[in-house]
Amino acid sequence: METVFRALGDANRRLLLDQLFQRDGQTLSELQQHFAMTRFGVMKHLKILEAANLVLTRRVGREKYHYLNPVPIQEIQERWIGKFAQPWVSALTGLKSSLEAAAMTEREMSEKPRHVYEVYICCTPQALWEAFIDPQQSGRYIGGGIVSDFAVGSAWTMPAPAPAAAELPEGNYVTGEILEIEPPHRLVFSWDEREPSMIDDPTSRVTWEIEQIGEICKLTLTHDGFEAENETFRSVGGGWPRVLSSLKSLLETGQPLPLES
Amino acid sequence: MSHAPQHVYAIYIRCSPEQLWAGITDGSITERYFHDTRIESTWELGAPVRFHYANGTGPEGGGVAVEGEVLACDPPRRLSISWKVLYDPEAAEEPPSRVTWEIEQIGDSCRLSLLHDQFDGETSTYHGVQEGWLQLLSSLKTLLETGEPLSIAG
Repeated sequence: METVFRALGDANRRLLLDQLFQRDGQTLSELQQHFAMTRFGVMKHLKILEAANLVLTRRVGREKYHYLNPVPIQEIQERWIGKFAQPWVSALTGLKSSLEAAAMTEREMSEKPRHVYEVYICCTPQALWEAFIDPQQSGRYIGGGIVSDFAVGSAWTMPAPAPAAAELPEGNYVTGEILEIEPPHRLVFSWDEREPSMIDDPTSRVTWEIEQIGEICKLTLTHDGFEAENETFRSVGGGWPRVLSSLKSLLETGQPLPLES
Repeated sequence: MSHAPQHVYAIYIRCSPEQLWAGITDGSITERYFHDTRIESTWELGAPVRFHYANGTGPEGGGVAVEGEVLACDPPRRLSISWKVLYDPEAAEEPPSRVTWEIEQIGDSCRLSLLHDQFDGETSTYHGVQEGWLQLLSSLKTLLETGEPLSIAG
């Protein structure tokens, strides 16, 4: 209980809890935006809150999410106030067990396989966006390019070149549906492999996110929605670092990387 | 499933393995993309490796940002060094971790794999370097392909 009081005895740490109370499940970068403190400073405060069990964390890929855990505060309340408010005690027990159940779900979620990649590219968000949605450009760094009218609910296809196309349903490597689109920041689409070895794998999901940092862009690509480490998961895990490296070369030098697929 | 904490990165760069090796081990190149630090070592097994601040001292006053020793050196394919952080007081108290660069030539390009492992749990070093490597690898690629590093603020 002493660690809880010590953790609460600092205005910045109380503000961190306020932030998580407003919106649970934030990353260090998101939390840092609210403070005139270095990333390292915020990290130190979060560690103290974590040690006091006031903050729980969950890691997904390269991201770590922070959650407010009110149980230690309620235990303090129970110690001195519980006597005067018996009904709360049973409510507290209920809350604690539901939190434990939630933590388990999170653990299960974090064990679902997914790929997360980040790359920094010297270009504008508009140039990067064009490189996704213009099939003339995307065809230079990803398979047969990404062909779609890019409306939510529309289909998209990645057509294969002539010799390979004959072996594939309708000549496509991959097909899917546009799920979300927010130019020039965010594009989400479903992913169905059409190659015979992967055609039975369940649909997965790809998210491109663009964040401008000064004169460069940070591109984060998340490929998730996998139930297990299936053939699609393994195949795209080898492919995305190439695709993103080639995209970066295309935007910065005008030439993609000439790599065999 | 619990894994020992580690960071794994892969990036493809249009250059020769020798150019990429120089990009990692030549101080006059590292100071252009590696947080203004020059890497220095004789590259013999067991020899010290230091990242010196190019302009003398770093933000916290010391002259060396990271130090370690050569654990494996096979130019231009594989370099492994121990990694002791000096640039951050909390991380400086942690035991050294390990960084390994592997270069594989593919046509006229190279695949660079970077593995940062042997952390003593999810330490301050572990969290601190995660975003840093992403920026460094992106900047190294830009430097080798265009002649100029990325200007990443901070």
